[in-house]
Amino acid sequence: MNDSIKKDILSLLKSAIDILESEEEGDLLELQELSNHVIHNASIFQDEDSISMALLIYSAYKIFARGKDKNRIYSNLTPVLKQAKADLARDNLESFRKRVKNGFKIIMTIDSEASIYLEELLDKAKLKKGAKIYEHGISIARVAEILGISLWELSSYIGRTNLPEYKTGADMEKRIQLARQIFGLK
Amino acid sequence: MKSIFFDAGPVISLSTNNLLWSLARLKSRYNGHFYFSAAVKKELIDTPYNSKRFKFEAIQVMKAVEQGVFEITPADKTAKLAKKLLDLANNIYLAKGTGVRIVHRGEIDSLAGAEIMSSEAVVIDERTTRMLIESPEELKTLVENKLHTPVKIQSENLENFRKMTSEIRIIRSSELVAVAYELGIFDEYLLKVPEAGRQLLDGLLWGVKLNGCAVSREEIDKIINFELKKQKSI
Repeated sequence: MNDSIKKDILSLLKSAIDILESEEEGDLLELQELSNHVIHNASIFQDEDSISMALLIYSAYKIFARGKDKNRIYSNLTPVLKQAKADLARDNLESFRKRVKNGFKIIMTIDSEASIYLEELLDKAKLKKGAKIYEHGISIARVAEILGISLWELSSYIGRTNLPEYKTGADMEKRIQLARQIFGLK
Repeated sequence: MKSIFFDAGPVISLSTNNLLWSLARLKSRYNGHFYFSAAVKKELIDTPYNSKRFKFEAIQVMKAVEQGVFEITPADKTAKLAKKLLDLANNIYLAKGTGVRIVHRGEIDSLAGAEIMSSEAVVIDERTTRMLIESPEELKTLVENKLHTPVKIQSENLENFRKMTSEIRIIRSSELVAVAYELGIFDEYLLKVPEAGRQLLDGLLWGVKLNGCAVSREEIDKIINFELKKQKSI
């Protein structure tokens, strides 16, 4: 694992643990902000670990937002994140990745409906984080490839956000004149 | 013979709006070839055909291929140039010492195909690939602002990429539907309602926008006004 990724994930895990241990009202917002932050690295390095972490933190935030048993989130998820952090610090990547997978399983057990919901949650998380990565300048097909999602689904999702509003390149009139000229319109 | 190359995005935005049929009409007017690459075929047909979601959309694209609306360029035809372009494109922007992989093989295959076939245009709905060709410095600013990290342009890679793609001209599905409108391809949808033309164009352009065509609201309004002005002047 690249040093920069490792450093960033360790810092992310520390922040997540601090948020969960503080057990304060603002935790929800902080988790959401944290899941957005990790997208920077996911965009640059496009590695599996940064992407898994972004999805895990986002899923924790969503379960939190559903108002499920907060105490179980605090008591069950926090130890796993601590173990994952310790494993990563020791460069034990295999164990670190197992802990992250375990984190997703714990989120499932916290919410009784989550066995069905988690799949939907992960799909939504991928689309949501995919749109964020796209916003960072990565092409739509590349984002679909990184996250393993359908280009059809991502295109429709992104189309319904405000992201394509960014105006670029050739101006509209030149482009439409080109199209008209190609199709023989004067 | 003249040709136009298609990326996956415009085919997706047109077929999810049930407008794929209009390409057959546009093609007969054009009297040339409509191509997409083997990598784009994988995204448009192979992957969705083997899943439940978007399977029917994949079948519609397959039908368009069977009917000869689209021709698929063999992978070996574009492979060499596509590999070069992909290596360059994904090593133009450096962040944290790493080349940011901003584009996908499918998008680059479309550029390589257009270059090899000397196509008149590439239809790309996607923002990043278009910016890479038309305004790479602006793309740097976007990436930098969003990543909150300094981004360096590797000038040599950008120069080489520019040289290899200098002939490429880009249009979007929004321009295609506007031209199809002007050619009367959608006339059957001109209903007895106030400002029927404006409403139809608005519906068409918002339809492609909401399914992935990177066209702004402002551009949509400009396209509508441009087309209606053209109509008046005839």
